[in-house]
Amino acid sequence: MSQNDTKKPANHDNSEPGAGFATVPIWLIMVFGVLFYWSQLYLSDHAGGFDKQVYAPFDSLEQVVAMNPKSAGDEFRIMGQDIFNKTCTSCHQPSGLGKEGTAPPLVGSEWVLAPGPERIAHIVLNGLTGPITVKGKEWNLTMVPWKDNYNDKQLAAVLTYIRSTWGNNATPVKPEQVAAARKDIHPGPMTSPELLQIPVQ
Amino acid sequence: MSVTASPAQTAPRPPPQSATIEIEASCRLPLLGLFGGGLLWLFLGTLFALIASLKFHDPHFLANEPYWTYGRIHAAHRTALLYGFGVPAALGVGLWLLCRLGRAVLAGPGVVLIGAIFWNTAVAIGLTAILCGDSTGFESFQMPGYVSAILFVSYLLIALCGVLTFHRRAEGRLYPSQWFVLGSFFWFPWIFSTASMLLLCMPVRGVMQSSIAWWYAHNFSSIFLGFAGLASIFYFIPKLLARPLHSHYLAALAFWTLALFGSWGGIPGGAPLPSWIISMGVVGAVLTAVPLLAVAVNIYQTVRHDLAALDADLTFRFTYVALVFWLIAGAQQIVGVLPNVSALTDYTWFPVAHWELFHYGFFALAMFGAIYYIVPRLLNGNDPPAWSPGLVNAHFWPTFFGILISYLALLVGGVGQGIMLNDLKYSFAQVTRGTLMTLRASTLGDLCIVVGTIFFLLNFALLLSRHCRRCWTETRKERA
Amino acid sequence: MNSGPLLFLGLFVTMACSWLSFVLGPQLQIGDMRPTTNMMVGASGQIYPNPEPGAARQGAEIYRANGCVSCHTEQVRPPLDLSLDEHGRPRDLGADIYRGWGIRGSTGYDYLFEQPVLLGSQRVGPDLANAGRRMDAVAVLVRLYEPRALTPGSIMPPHPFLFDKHKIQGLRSADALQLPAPFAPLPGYEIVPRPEARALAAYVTSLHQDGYLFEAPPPPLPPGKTNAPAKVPTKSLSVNRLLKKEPSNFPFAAIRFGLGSATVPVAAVGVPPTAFRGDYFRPEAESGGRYARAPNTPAK
Repeated sequence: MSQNDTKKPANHDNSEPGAGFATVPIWLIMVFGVLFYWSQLYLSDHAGGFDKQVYAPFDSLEQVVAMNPKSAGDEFRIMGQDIFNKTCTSCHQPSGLGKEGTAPPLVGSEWVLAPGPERIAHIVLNGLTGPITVKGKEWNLTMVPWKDNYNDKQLAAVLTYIRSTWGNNATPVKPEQVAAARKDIHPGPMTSPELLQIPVQ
Repeated sequence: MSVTASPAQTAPRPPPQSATIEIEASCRLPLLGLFGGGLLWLFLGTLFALIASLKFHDPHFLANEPYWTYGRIHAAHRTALLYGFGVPAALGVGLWLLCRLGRAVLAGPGVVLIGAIFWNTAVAIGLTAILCGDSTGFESFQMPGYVSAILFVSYLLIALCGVLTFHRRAEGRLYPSQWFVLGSFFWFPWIFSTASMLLLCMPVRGVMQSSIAWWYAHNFSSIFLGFAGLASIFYFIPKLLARPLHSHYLAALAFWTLALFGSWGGIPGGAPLPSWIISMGVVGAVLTAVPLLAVAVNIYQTVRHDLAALDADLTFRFTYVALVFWLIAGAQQIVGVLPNVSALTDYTWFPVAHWELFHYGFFALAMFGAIYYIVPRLLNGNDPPAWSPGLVNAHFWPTFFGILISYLALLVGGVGQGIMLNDLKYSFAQVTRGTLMTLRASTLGDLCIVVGTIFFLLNFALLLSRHCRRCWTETRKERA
Repeated sequence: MNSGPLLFLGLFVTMACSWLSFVLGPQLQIGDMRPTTNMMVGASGQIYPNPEPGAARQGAEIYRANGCVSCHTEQVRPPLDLSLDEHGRPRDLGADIYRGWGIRGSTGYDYLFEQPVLLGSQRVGPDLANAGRRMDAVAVLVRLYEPRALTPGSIMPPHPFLFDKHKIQGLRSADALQLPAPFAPLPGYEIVPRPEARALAAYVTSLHQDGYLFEAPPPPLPPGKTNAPAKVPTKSLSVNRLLKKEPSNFPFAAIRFGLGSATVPVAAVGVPPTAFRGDYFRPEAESGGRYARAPNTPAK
């Protein structure tokens, strides 16, 4: 690697590179400006106000609050929906319409829509067997009891849910009402005649 | 060349500039130690990568013992590459640059050598620990806590010598490479100590650990390794072309914007962290477009008139290919961080493609270019021994093709995997089957990289043996 | 910029900005997160999360030691955004939720008691955030011993070192693995999980992130309307947004176009052509789907 060879780069072992002083091109400054502006817009849109409770995909705390159940009633209904989805849909179907040979419908059922929930509280607590007339049709199936699986608040939530969904529009059910029904100890499942003897308020 | 002080001034006289020969002599042993150890770990790391890659095609390969199970081999591969090769190479090249650009001998070469020995010991212990099951579970930070202290102390020994060398510099004007080297030297202790304290010693609660682990991994790669690679590129390209760097101001813009915005990031889009942390990462990554463009314009304007000369030096290829890969990796990172894209590509092979391109394609190649230049001059400043050109080619082409094949396969495969994952008619098993072609190509790429690395090690050994033989015969001649 | 001290000062300031954004800031905000009340599953006012001591914690150590985190994530991603349809329901819940990997996106609360937090960054294997709701311990053990027994063509590595193979002494052990024919040991031998395997199975089956939280509420329930579950779309909308014409803003439109034109080569490369032979590609239907679930355990 001789110093006189002009084709190959000379041996520059003793010289260090220097830097020229060309100016920064103006378009680069403009790109920087545009990107910086975009970044501020992005942060204002997506940083959730730097709030620790705002996780993706929410953009602000207001959105989180709006998506949350707005009242204790909403929360209660969602608990009921959750339990209904996990437990009841296999027989009564997610649409609440029931299925031939499996379970009677809950939509528009006079039992569900009764003024008070005492009868349906007894059904979910103790189960049901034998013939029962629902919406003019007779059903003769067996339902298992749930009193050992769920507490009063959970059962009240499910009952509230089925009474206020699919167009049903009956009053919510309070845990105390389920507790009162639970006190009425009944070994074995209910039958239709026994249910009809229970007064509904 | 000393500056005569006027009687009125009481400014201290700058130290006399050291001759290049003295600088190389002072750097010889410590840097050879750093580079030699680094190359061995590089070989081990790429070998582990190949083994891990082979396991995708035959899961029973080496599966009977816990030491070689995929999870541990993968962690070992990353650790060997990042800590066994990455940090020592960055330190070695950085120290050399500080000496040359400051025209001062290395301060405390013995201390640097001791630091290198301790560092390599710590990495050896750490790798053994990982293979025996003591990994931490944090990507890019797998070595257990008891090794962290040794790593930290040995790093400080080396880096402080570098800072002292910088302090004793004879050349007052700073060249951009020096900013980058000092930046990287300064960054590592901060991020490493933060990660060690807050992840291992007094672990923070819950997802904070993940935030810090991602922040550490991103800063380690983008800033620590990135600055070291850029320092090398900014130095060698103007030097080997015998032209000045185009613009000091563009380099300054690139440096500060990369330091500021490049250090924000690393959090994947769907992470279970409050949105603002993820958004800050997105913003930081998109703003790295500015340093990307600044570096591209700067280097392009420097080489524009001399494009033919880029091929004149065999080893110069490594440096400018590294720059191109850095630009591509940076562009991919910007695209990949946008929410719509990251929803598709997060947790697929797409980010792995970026990792490979950045660490092999950019950082390793930049370090190779520097090592190819530095090592002969360390051995003999007056008459540097030559590398075997055939072996240099045998190193470059397999490595280049290996990286290219691996990167393209993982990039396209990652996008495909993301599309299939989002399409519910594909079961997960079918998604996996869809990636097998990608994995085959990536294994081929890993094999090529191992082959290239073997040739590099051969060349290095050949160079050392040639030099030692020459030294030996000259000493015998002198005695005779 | 020739002054060393100024350079250090500048580096310190920029480093500090990053550290403040990603370390100190988040630590001040979420560093002292405590369990919160779970909205509805189970009894009301239930605290979430509950720590899982014992075998599950030991299993977490095995999970970490064997690097399971390099292939599995433990986080459910939320949908990309929350645009609502005309019924007031979200148009897209995100692919993770549609795949049954969770009911809601993961939040910081889900990892409060994990040490270390093994979120993962790669989905070579499926996400495990709610693995406890999908798998039982026996399925996990069989999958650990020989993943291909349950999923033909799986690339998950087997972990035979977590199990013991020994001669059957008298009666079979109660917890010996039931393996299908190609993977079963020779007659007279049985595969019994070691304590590490059992701990790992306990850990995986303890993973669940259910129950809606304030930060991750359920999709809204419009009052009085029909509550038939929304039809699950075949493609998550994030893909639709990228590949089809959907209103979106620049620069996403450009990226969408670019990726859309990339799907042709992707489909050619990514989706396996049936020209390849080998049992990797036998469709699940052909294998009879017998091994989709863990073989029945013998009655105890």
